Amino acid sequence: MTMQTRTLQVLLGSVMLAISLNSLAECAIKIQNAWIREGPPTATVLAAYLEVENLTNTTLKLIGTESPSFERVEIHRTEMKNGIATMHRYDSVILAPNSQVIFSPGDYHLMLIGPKGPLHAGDTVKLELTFDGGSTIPVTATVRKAPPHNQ
Amino acid sequence: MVSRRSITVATVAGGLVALGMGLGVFLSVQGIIPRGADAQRIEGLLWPNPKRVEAFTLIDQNGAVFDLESLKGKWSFVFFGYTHCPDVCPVTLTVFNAVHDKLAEHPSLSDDYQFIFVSVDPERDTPDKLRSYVSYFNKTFIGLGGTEQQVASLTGQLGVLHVRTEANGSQDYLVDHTASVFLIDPLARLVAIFSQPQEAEQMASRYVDIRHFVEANI
Repeated sequence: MTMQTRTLQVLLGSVMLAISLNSLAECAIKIQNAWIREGPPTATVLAAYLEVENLTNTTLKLIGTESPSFERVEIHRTEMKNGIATMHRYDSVILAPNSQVIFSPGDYHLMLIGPKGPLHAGDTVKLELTFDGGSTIPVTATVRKAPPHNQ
Repeated sequence: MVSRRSITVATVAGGLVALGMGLGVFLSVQGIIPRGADAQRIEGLLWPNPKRVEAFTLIDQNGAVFDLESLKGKWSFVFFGYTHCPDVCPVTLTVFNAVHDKLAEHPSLSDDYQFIFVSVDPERDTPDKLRSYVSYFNKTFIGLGGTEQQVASLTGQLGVLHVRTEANGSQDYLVDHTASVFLIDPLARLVAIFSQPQEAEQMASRYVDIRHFVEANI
């Protein structure tokens, strides 16, 4: 009985710790204007854009991205050199203290590979961003034909 | 100290500007630059020696041949990319669609122009894929592809580069590619190159300016 209570306590403790870690991360990181550019119905890749702001005084690192709506999500950046568009895949993105990284067309974007179903403007898609230290932030991105006005 | 240096720099710069202006006026007066000021003001214009496009053969989204003759008699906006490209290609084709709409709003402009997407990914971009891809952006857009050699018959002469990267044997490779927009006139001459980033308003107004300029200088 005592053993069971103790296990329960430990379990509860971990759950609460996990919850508080997540809410800590959510307070520490602000994500805005997440959207996905609608693509042709046969598109095998799409791009998601968003603004990620580190509200803390420490450096954070985005180390993972995934979505239940896609087979794989990667961090990419389009770089223009001498008129040539080069795509680079990044394993992580550093967020300096109190700074913002903007994922926008022609720059950083989340490359959404292998959509599990057709997506149309107005649909919403769940994404998850994982940061160094294990905290994960859920993001809802809206499928749009054009960028939101303030981007 | 700093201010003296700035003054020197400003004086030299001013002198160079004045010299440049003087030279420009001189050349215009001499008729060496036709309507010199205009030509220099239009960014991206390749004048006075636009390159003539030479023979090439590509296959359009319906399986028909598209070659040098298909460029003649029309203004062509040409962009090179691939359908597995999630960022710069859809962005540019969305801009093409907006340019198309802006030009259609001006009844004074005749509609002898075409928007062309050339795939530099012959392995994956079949005519069927190209058809569904380009028609999503605009039903009038032309999607071109072909064999490696056919694609090279146009990219080679325009200096368009494309390189496969991260080829790990799967279908997941990326293609680095020239992302400028090429404007070809009805005589099949490459008259302008617009570099990224593309913006619809700007592309439409440059096209109108270039068109007027080229028509006045044929």
